[in-house]
Amino acid sequence: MSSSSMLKTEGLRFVWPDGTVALDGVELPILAGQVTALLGGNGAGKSSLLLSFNGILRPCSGRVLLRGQPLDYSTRGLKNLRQEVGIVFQNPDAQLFASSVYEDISFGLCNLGLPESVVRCRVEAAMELVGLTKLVRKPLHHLSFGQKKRVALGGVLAMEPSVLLLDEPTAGLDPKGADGIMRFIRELQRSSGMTVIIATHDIEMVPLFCDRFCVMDRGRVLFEGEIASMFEHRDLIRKAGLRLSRIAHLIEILTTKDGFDLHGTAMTISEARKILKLMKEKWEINGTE
Amino acid sequence: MTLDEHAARSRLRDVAPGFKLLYALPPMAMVLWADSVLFSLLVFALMSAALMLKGGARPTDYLRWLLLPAGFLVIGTAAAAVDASASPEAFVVSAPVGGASIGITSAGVEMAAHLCFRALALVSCLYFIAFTTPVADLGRAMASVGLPPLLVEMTLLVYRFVFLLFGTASEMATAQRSRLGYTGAASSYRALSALASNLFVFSARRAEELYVAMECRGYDGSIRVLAPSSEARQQSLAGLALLEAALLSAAIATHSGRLF
Repeated sequence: MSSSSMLKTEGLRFVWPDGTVALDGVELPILAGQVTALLGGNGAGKSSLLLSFNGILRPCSGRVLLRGQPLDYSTRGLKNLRQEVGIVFQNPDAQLFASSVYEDISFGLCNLGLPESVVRCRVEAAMELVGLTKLVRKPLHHLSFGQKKRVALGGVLAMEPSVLLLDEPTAGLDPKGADGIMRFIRELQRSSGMTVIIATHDIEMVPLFCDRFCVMDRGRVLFEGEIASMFEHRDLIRKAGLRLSRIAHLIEILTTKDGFDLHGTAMTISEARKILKLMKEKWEINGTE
Repeated sequence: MTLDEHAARSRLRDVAPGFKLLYALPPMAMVLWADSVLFSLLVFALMSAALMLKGGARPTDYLRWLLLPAGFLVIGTAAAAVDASASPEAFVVSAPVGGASIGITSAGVEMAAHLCFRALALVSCLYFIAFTTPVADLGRAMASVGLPPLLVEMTLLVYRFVFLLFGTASEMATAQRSRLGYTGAASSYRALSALASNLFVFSARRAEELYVAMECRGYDGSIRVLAPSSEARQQSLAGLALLEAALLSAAIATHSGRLF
């Protein structure tokens, strides 16, 4: 995996017209080919940061770099930027506008000015990818929330972006649907080497599907690092109004309050099983002695 | 089930929308011009048969939808049948009111019958289109005959967002009802005004979100999308022309011969 930064912000500051400071000097590198979770409470600036990556919000000061080049906010520059950096919004109803699935997915491609045959080919590939082939001709308002979410994702993936921004991809989905969409994104990322940034509150999903995490609070980045270091930085995470995953919390309580002597930490079920197996082996050895 | 769902399920959905319009629109003009009960009935029968036998719409569904304009039809035609005059001789049935009398004349009945069947025939033509053609297809047909793209885009956007607005309005109304809105006249007015103003704010916010989302996919002022490659079945145009010609001659016959 390459460790160069795909996107990078330098002293990024953005203030809404009503005076609310959304981003307050954000310094953040986003590594290429990695899935980065953007964590933070409501109003921490996650969505504003995503919109800055896409060139929708222009920073009041500071800058955003894509592959080391500052963003070009000219019409032409923005067109290229938005093809390369795609964003899927939290609410699919805010994103889908066309009257059928097919048309909506074709929208971004038509805007790229591709020839019709290429557009058709890519629309069909995208529908196949997100599993919507059966719904081609369905009007959008007859789809379920989860299906709409897939259409929204398909419309962005069809543009073949190298960076995918996802705002709360699991919000409003049932556990199976949420798990399905995250697995899909992870697999896609692995096979295409895409850089993915996920703004989320879904803390259980983060250690399962992400490589890195970034904690935001009131427009600032408190920490950015590998998922493995999440446990160490639990105080920081709590300061931002978030929490550890349930498993990590359990392990923490077992070691700090109940006096268990555990080897290492765990944030997911599989990691916890490893620790417990180690414990069991130790007991068995002690028992036979 | 909404008309939209009927259209999406219709067996005639894949027939080119232009063809369906050519089938249903000229008879509308003929019905208006011929002004004959017999011809109106003929068109009504033709449209209803096509929609149920070819399109596969269930008769009960169709009947339920026909009842919708029936209310207006009855009130409207009843008003046409009733007349007022100073002399009671002109009426078939009449009741004296003050110096004059109000009642039903035979000319009034005839006019009412004409009106009623004409309206019924026109409704059946429109229902034929509504039951077999999704709005999106209609929009594409509009674009292909050269209507301004702005108009077509607006139509399709309104179509998409009407459902969203409708859904939101009914959710808001449910929330209001669960907190005892709409219990009396005063509370109804208050709740309705709150609903309307909230919907307005909601629409404005939604419009902005949509604009941002569209910008993210490279929107530059004109909406360009590709319709699914049309697998539209092209029916024989000659057959259609023959049918329309036959209808036209029937219209002329009934109009000039005054069959009824």
